[in-house]
Amino acid sequence: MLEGALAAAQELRGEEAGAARGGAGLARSLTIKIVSAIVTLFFVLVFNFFLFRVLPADPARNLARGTALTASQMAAVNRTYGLGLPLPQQFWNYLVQTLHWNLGISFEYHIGVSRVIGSALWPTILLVGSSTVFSTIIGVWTGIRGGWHRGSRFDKTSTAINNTLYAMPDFWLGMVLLIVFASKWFIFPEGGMHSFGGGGTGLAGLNDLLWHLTLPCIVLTLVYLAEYSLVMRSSLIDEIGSDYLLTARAKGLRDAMVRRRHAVPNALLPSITLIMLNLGFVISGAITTETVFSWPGLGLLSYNALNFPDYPVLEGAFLLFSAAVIAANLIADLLLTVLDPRVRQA
Amino acid sequence: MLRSNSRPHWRLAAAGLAICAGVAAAGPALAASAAPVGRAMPAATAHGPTTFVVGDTAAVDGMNPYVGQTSLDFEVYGLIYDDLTDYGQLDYSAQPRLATSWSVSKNQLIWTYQIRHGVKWTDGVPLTAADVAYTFQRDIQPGSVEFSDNSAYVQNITSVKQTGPYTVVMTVSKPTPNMDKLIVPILPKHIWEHVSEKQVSTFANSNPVGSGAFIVTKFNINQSVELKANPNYWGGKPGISKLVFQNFTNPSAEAIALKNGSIDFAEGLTPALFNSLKGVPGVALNNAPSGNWDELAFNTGAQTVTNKPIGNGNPALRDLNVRLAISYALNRPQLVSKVLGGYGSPASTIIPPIYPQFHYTPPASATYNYDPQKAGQILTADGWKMGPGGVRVKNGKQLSLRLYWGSDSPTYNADAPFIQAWLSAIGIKVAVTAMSTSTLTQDIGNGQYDMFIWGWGVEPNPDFQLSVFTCAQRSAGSPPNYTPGWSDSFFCNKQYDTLYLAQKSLGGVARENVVKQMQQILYANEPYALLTYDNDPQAYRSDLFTGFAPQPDARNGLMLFQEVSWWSYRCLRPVGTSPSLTDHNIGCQHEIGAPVQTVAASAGSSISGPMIGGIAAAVVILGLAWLLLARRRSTTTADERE
Amino acid sequence: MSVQTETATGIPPISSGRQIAWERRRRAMAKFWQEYRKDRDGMTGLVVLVLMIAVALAAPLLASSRGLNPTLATYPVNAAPGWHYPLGTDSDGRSVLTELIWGSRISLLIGFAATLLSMVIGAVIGIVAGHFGTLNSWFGRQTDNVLMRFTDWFLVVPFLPLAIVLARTLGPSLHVIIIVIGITSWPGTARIIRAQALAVETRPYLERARALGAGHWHQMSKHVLPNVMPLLLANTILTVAGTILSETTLSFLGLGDPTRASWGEMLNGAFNNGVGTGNSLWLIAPGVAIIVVVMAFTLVGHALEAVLNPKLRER
Repeated sequence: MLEGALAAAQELRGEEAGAARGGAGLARSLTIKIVSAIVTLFFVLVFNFFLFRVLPADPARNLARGTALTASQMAAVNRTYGLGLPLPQQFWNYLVQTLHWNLGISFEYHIGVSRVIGSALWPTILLVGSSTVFSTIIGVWTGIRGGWHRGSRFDKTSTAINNTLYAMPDFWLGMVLLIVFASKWFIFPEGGMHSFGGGGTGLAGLNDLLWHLTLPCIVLTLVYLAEYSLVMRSSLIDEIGSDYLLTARAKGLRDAMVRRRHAVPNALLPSITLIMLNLGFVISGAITTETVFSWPGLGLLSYNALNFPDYPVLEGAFLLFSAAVIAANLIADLLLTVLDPRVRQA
Repeated sequence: MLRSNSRPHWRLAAAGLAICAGVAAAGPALAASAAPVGRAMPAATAHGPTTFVVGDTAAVDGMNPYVGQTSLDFEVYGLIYDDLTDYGQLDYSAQPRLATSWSVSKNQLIWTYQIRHGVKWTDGVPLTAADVAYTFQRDIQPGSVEFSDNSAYVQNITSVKQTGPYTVVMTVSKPTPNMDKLIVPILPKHIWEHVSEKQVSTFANSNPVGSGAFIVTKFNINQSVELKANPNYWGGKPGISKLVFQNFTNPSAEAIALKNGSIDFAEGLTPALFNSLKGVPGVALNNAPSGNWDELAFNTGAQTVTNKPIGNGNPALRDLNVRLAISYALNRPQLVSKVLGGYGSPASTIIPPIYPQFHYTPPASATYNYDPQKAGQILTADGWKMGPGGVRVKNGKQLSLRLYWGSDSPTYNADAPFIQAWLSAIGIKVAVTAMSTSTLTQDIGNGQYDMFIWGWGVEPNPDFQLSVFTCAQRSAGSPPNYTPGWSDSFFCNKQYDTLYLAQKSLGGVARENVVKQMQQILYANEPYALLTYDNDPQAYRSDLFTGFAPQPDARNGLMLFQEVSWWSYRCLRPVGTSPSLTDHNIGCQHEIGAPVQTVAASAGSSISGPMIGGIAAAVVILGLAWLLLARRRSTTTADERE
Repeated sequence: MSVQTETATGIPPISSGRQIAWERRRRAMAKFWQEYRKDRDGMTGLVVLVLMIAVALAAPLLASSRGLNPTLATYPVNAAPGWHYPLGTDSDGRSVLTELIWGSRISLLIGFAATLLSMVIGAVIGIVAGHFGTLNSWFGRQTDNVLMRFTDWFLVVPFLPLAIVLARTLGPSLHVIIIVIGITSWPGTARIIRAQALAVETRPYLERARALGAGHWHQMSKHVLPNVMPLLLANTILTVAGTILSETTLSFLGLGDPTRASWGEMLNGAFNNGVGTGNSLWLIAPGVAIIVVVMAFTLVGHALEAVLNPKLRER
């Protein structure tokens, strides 16, 4: 994952510089990127549709089980869930409906899938957002410090810790924290997002939410900061070896100045790329953390939908995950285009 | 190249490994004790003393009683809606709920119900017979979602009429004694008449208007359902002000939550977690027999309702001798001790012992006790001779069977290797495959299986469970995917079907005898080899709440999640409050009383007749409660292993 | 390599081209090993790895497989460590140490098999895309384009939901898990191999080969592949680390094969039956084992990369 991301980032930079040098304007490359993202999204829609039509699903039969529904009554139920029509017709309906944000009716909750997904969206954003902020800040900082003072005690310790965290299954870490901080000592809650009665609104409610958010946020932060730190460190070390920095130092610039003004900003690029790439994946990757802490986000929703099985919800969640990754990739691309001076000056 | 730095880098790796070793070393320290030593139990829970929180691994799908499917759904519907009658806490006899009295005509075909006066819906509209009539008229529409959902109760009803503001008359097509136990939620006409037939299966019903003891205040998908007590409940105001059902993704977190006081009742614990709660101060453990059991089901010859053979079941299982031999080869007591941790009992017939009037106990001579020798003899006599590799052979065919189960159940995952081992010991080769329950359902419906492990939960009315084995419940339709009925063994026996129809029109002892006869037929033919009757290991904070009304009415009856009953919720109250808070509520004649130290002595006032009576009643009730509680204490400390 | 050297040292002159090639490879490998040995992290990782594989292969010698059979388990359930079960027992009464040893087989098997599948797919796509991409033909550029779009698209599809859906449909069994992980892990490999193939394609001997009339297949298999191989190997080792983690996640979510005690299945069992009971080692031990193995693979992979790519050595 790490190496793939590094390679991807460098490739992007190479492509960017190449394209810029080739004379393609900024606007043109931006347009190409956006169009390409839309095309990818379309292919995802197609894949999504067929994947979930191929799987065995028949809500009518489940409802009808044990009593003989007539053919027309089964057809009526099928129509409610959008089944029973010829495949091309279903696909067209699916496209049109998706564009109107109508993702069908959930088999389990019997309300619109968009409502179901909507109710799980905020907890996921909260969890993923907060952990991304922390892991980015801490990861980048330790990566910079470790990379700049390569071989120091800080660097060695930090790398060892990062390697260990990177090798750790995230749900295992979650379980260990749960046992220590919720069972052995009751410092944090065992799950969920709210307490009941004691929660309330206003400041007390916020306090309660943060109390519940702490452990899952810590787990996700630790899991991702290792990766960010290692990548930041690598790319900084790469930068350090560059000629222009030698020149800067030879000119007599102070270490910290060299670091802050030159090395770090350039080394940040692969890290930013990686963080954005990851952002899309974290949303779906939080599934195991949400399962351990009963955090009612999209991951948990998908997991429950899987066990039911609630195909419309799965389909909707899948689409959302893919769209998130596509969007994150696009933003990473755009950011890179904007931030990389070689491209800007072209 | 630049390795001039002398410090070897292997220290990095070693540091990492040291961290792991440290964590590993901490393991035994963590393992030291299940009960947190030295931690003070919270005096009051974080959620307030009058809020009762129930933890469960099941989730609520929604508030629409016509489409709910999980056990928790039905638990909630019974709290927000009322039925006409209830299964009594003491003996499952019919208890008045929205119907205060009822009678049946001489020809057994016309039932008249008197509806309770003075009941109001939670939006203030009075409840009348019009609501009852409307609900049932909707439910008997053939082919509707409502009918399909309630068919077990309304199958025989041909017409429903309101004959007065508080009188409803229902006509049945044949004598139906169960008309006094219709567990059908009564819905408000003024809300549901705006929900058309087309809309009913997707109607969210997010702010349900009901007549029940509780009102839904908040429903968060995959999180919780919050309810508040209905202050105007006709059956008496509940002793708790707020009731919450919290969803946990795994029972381990539930057990931890119970210890911490975050929840007050834990449902769905595994035997290991149940054991880990022993000795925790303030937690009461209840190893309650339930209506649930697990079985090993056979493909006795899959055919559709038109008797067309389908599927690829091994023909060997059509032979009764093979099924009997398999049943004799199963060591059920070992399943109880190893898989259920002792929380259950070996199973025989399909109506479990918690319904003693219907349960059939086979005579000792006919019981399929663990006897691998006998199993082997039966097979040998049947022509299955031991062949190469220890697998029996007959007419050149090996006795090799497939065993399926749903992979998301840890119980079935644990049962499977035992069954495989026992059957291979008598010469049957078993190929095991775990699969998703939806795939399993499909395979069963198409007859593409030999054996599988699954389970059922039986209600006080045995009708539905008996119907599963009727010929009419076999698959219907056409290939490639048949429409499954409820029959997953494809058992079809004319005599059984006749008896099934007969018991629908009988009551009392006559019906009990017929039901027992039917179980006898099933036991003799073994379409299922029942494995275990499963107990429901429940744990709750007895230091914080009391007043549970167990059903069946015994010290180890189910406290909550009773079979189609909701007694405890109306009678529950926080420890430290007086029993008079709830013991006048409907159905709370026999709840667990307060612990001894909180009896409030009545203030000294002039003694009067009713007062003497009241004091005497209080003494009797307290004495009963103390007796119950004393036995309860000993069961929480004594070993429950069977 | 000149032939005169051999005469000077007394070795009979090498005559065939093949022998020259093998001699060159042997010397390259010796040099490679010398470089690798200097990397302490890499050596540690290698030692641990060899040890793990040895344990997996020697499992029948270390612990009887009967210890895995829950029907034969006689030890007390959820017990703290004891003489016969140094890491305690699980909720079936089986020794955790036995499960850990035998579980290494399953986890390593899935790791290697899934990685092999992913590596094959990734390498094929990467080499083909890189090779055709450098040709100055429209067909070549389109092939590269299409393959890379396909790879990008696969990268976009989130791994976990896709793996879950596939595992759910196809059923929880060993080969399904291998296939699922394998077909969701190849995009990273494909990108890296393509980048390397692009670099190789510009080398002079490939131009010479083309001028001599070598066909596409010959170019890709005899020239590109061997030069891409070292990087592929390094990438493979790193991918194994990822696939082992993926397997534990899938098993934890209940999609693994419940009849096989892999480390992920052990964690699944501990999660549902062990928390708060008398034996926390059932939860801790497989976790530590996973950390150790994954770290070992990662260290070896990084060391390999460093040796092969001098620029990386400074890390």
